[in-house]
Amino acid sequence: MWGLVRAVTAVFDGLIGIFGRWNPMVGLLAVSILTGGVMLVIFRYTSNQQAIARQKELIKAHILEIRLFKDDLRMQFAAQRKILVENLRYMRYALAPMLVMLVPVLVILIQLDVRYARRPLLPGETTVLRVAVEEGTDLSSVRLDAPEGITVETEPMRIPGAHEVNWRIRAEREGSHDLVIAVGSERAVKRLEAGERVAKLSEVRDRAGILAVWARPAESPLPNGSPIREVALAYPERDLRLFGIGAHWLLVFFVVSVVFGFAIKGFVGVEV
Amino acid sequence: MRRSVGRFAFLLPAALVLLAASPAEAYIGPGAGFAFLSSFFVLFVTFLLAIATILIWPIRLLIRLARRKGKLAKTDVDRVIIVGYDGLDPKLARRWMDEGKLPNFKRLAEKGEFRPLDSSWPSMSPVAWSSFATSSDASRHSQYDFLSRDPKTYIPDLASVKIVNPTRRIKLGKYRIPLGKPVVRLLQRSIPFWKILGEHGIFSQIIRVPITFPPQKFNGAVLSAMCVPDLAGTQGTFTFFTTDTEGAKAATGGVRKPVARNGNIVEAFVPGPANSMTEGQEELRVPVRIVIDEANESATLHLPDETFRLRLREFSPWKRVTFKPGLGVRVNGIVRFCVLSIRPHFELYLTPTQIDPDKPAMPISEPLFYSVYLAKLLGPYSTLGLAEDTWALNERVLDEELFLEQVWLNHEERERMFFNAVDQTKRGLVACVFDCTDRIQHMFWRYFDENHPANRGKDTVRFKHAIENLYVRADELLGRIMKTCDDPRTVLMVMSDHGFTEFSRGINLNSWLALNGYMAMKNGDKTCKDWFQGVDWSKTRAYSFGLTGIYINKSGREGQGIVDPKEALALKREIAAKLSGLRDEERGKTAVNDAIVAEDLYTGPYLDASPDILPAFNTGYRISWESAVGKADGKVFTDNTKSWSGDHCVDPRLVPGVLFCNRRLARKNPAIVDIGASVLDLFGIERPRHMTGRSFFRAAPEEDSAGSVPRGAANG
Repeated sequence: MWGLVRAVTAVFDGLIGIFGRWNPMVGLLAVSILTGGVMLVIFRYTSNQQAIARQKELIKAHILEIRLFKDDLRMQFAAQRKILVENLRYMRYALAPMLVMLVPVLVILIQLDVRYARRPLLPGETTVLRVAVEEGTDLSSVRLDAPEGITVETEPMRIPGAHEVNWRIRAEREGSHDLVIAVGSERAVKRLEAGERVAKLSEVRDRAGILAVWARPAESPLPNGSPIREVALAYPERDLRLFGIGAHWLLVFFVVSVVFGFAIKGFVGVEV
Repeated sequence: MRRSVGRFAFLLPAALVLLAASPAEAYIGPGAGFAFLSSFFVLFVTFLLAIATILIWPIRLLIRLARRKGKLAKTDVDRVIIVGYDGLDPKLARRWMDEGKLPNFKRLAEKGEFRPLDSSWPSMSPVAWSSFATSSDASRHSQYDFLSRDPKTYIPDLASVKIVNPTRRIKLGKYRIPLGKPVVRLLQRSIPFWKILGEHGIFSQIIRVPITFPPQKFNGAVLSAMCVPDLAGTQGTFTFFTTDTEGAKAATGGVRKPVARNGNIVEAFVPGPANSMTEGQEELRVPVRIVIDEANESATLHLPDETFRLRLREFSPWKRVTFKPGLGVRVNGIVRFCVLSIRPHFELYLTPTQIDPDKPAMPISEPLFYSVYLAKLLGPYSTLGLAEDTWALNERVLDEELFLEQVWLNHEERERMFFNAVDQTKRGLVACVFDCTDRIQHMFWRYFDENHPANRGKDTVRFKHAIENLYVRADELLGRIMKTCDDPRTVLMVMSDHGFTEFSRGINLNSWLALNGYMAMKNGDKTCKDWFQGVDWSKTRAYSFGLTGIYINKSGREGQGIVDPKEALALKREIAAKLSGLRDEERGKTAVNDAIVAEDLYTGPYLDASPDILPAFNTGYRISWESAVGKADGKVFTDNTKSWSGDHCVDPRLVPGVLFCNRRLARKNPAIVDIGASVLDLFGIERPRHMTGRSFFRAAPEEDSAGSVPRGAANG
């Protein structure tokens, strides 16, 4: 499964990498537009287009009914009731394509989330590295080897109750830095990204299961049987801006993908 | 196994959602966004409309009360439902009621009333339905025929509609952009009774009542019918594509087009309107590529936006076509296809390209969006005035079976409109006219008489019961209607504008006039071609065209008139006297029972638009096809060999309509002019003085005139 996750992640790396030199918003816009188009096509082939068109016509008919019987309060409310009923039926026809699209859209969202929700550390910024181990593991045996470009600012802080060891670390240089955590002879690597570019960020590396690996696409899961349960570090939230306008990446994705979908539905011949 | 896979398919996304549960990932993407955004928009608009309805209602109520004309008298009626069966004949209805074949008609007659209904004079649909709408005779609503003429030029025109295209245009490259829209004017005079109802706050839905085009503004909704043109501006022109070059000859009411077959491919087109935006005004077309599947006796038709398969002799559903005259302008139409033959020749029939009710190229309803509303609610429907293609059957392009199928397809659309209107109306009027009765009787009457000349070379057995089946089906519809109208405050009327009779012999009035010295041809000929080509107007004192009668070539009125107006009346009486009792010696029958001078029939303000002499033809006779188009062929009597073998353009006393009502009438001789006045009476509204009709729910014994000229023609 991890191989598949890696392949999908590589596709996104390539796609977003095309826009790597520009403002991060550009790559997000490109993916949103592409997603809007692809989802529209999926919607076309997974929905009952005829039924959707019919429901829309009925809704419009009942809206016209309100105009037609403008002096008849009873008919007006009857028409409004029919609009609500037809609208529910219309939403029912959206359920099947929604379920079909749920999986690919979740994958896309996760891939975008690991790149656009947070940003890498800037040189000089600090974060806390947290290593959780299995119960019974000697916390004094947990060590951290920081590569060049990363400074470990504090001595390890051991929390026996939580079976954790924490360090405060500081990024000194841009780039991908592999922190090596050793427990006895067992070793695990946690990647830390530093710099201004868009990179896939993993805040937690753990023993993700067969499905959970889709939610942690930036790093492979820890092997089962390792005394290390979880390695985590925190990144700052990304402030996305284009021409001085800032917005959460999810909002940008939602608006752009939907607006693009609506804009081209006529050309593609899709009833939405 | 399949079940567990299905469960897994459901659990997978659910698990992903849970595993990736952060606020960011709670969103499920544009797919849902597409659907739900529209829904939320609709919900939002509905909510706003509901609020607006509540807020505006008191204001609207006050405006309505202020505008209302006069007070309504208290009555015991909330709703009037009028079902018009065009041409339903009282004699046939009585016969099949007595035979127990029309139980619902019988039940309605027993509950209330069944009487012959005096038709208009002349007993033609445009005249009779105008009398129905206005409660007036022809001289008050000015409708005497389908056709009228410009007396200055003798050129015919539609009697009920005038379409004036804008004359000023801007030249832009190859385009000529008209400045303004065509003006479509209704030539029917007087006021429909539903307008008077509306002025008193009573809402009506008027569906497919003839001569309501262009629709007029009133407090209610009307969907136009008879005289609504097709997109080409004609009263209905079918198209017939054939690979048989012999079959691609000229046709009346349609166009025959030869096409080539390359392998299994035939390239045809849907004809549209003339492109009024270009100098040449060439016909706009939408291409159709046809792929023939001989093995399966079917064809696949490729339109620009749609591909569909048709079995042999199967009508397609309505297909939408868009014509593009240029500059972003679009004209929308609807059309049905039917593959008539695959071998030895490929043959394709197209209905006339009709106005798309969802995107009407010209108003066919009032309010304008009423046709749109019906199309969205019930799907596309035929909009042409005469949507049943009688010409295609006359020309033997369609056969009886396909013609009947087309009629019933159209009929089903109207049934749906009618029941929708009835369901919506708790107080008010619903009037709907069903044309199937008229069209089928016109085309199948020949089956009643084996010796009918129209039977030559045609089947006389297979559809022998078509008219009987028609009445049975009308009865079945009536049964369903009666179920929805079964309350004491609903008045149900089932009526027809005229009855029916045989049409086996045509009378050419122009030939008769020529032979009797009233009409003269150039070079001393006794014949002239269509639309009076070859007539010497300087020596012509009378002429005929259309299906109603004879006009005097009166000086001062006609462009080349020669008859002194002072002598016109005497000439009319002379011609009428000669024509009365005209015998068909070949058959040994009287062909013309009577010929009436217009002044003896009418007293209204539009008397001058009437034919000057109106012959009252005997059963079996009617103005011939040739005479109707201004032709004289030297023969007065000819056999009618067309499938159009029944008619009603005879002495109106011979073809009364029917009136069934679930209430007793106070008068014995109701007339079609009385219906509007009676409906006003039911709602407690006084009859306006301009109406010649009187309520038949009120006794007026002095008005009884059984056996005389129908009151549809005379003065109330």
